[in-house]
Amino acid sequence: MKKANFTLMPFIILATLLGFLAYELFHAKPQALPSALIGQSLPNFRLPSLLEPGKNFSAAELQGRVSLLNIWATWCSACRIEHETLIIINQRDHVPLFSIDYKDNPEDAKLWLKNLGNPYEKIGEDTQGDLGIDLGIYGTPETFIIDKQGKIRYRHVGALDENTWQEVLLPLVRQYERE
Amino acid sequence: MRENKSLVMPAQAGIQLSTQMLRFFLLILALFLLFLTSTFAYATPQDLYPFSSPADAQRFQAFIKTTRCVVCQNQTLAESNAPLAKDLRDKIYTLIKDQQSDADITAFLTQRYGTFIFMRPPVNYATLALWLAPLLIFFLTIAFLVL
Repeated sequence: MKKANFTLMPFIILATLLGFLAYELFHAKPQALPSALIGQSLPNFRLPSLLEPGKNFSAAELQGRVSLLNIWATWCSACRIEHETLIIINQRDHVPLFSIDYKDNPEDAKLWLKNLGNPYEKIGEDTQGDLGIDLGIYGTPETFIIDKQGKIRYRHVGALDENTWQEVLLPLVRQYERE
Repeated sequence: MRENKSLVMPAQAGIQLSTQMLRFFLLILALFLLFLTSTFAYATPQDLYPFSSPADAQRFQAFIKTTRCVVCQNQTLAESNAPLAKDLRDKIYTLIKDQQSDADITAFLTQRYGTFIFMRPPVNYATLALWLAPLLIFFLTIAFLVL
């Protein structure tokens, strides 16, 4: 009896390891990393406002209502795809949309908004990417849901599409609005 | 007199010729030195992150070799060419320059990116299985071999 169990052992181990491999290959999402900042207040930033010369965009302006904070750049191709969705979201669902132009040339950014439309209420210029590090971002685009208290509640990494917006982010926004 | 002149003339011409040659030589020397210095500048490896103390330089190296480049997940900051890796290297550099302690820098990175940013996972409840698994497998193997 014992002998039979031993001969099966290597196969059981192999099967287990293959099971782990299959999981890692087909189901694991190594890119889906929860933000370390969930539940915390936004970093207390103050950035030059892109479209209002001499004025600033600061963290305090995101308090009082549930809003979205989108991180984008003109050099980011996924941001171009996402931009259309953001315009639709802004026009249809009336969720306040703020943004950070990350490590970008302000002139390029102005041209981009002129050509593609501007869904943002206010845009901060993070030329050096310092706020990017403070927000723990991995790349662009990323979208944060900020609640009424100015706390980070949710982070979406990558281009936001209509499906994800309708099924994941919008319900969360409505839920935080009721709080 | 004529003879004298004719004797002197070639001598003057010789002096003129030699000053010309000297100028030419100096020009060549100057060009040579110019090239020498320019190649010298290329040959010197530029230290991108200069520190005044060797201890700080060592701390910097230790940090970038144990911190993950979050974009290219299995590379450290020291190995990665990703723009975010460069930004984080610069950030760690300025933090060390600002006399921040190792604990401060670790806290700074953890607060923003979580413990995932370190190549070495911390020992806590979530990672206990990870840390104990090798030991467990070792003892199980011994147990199987003995039985």
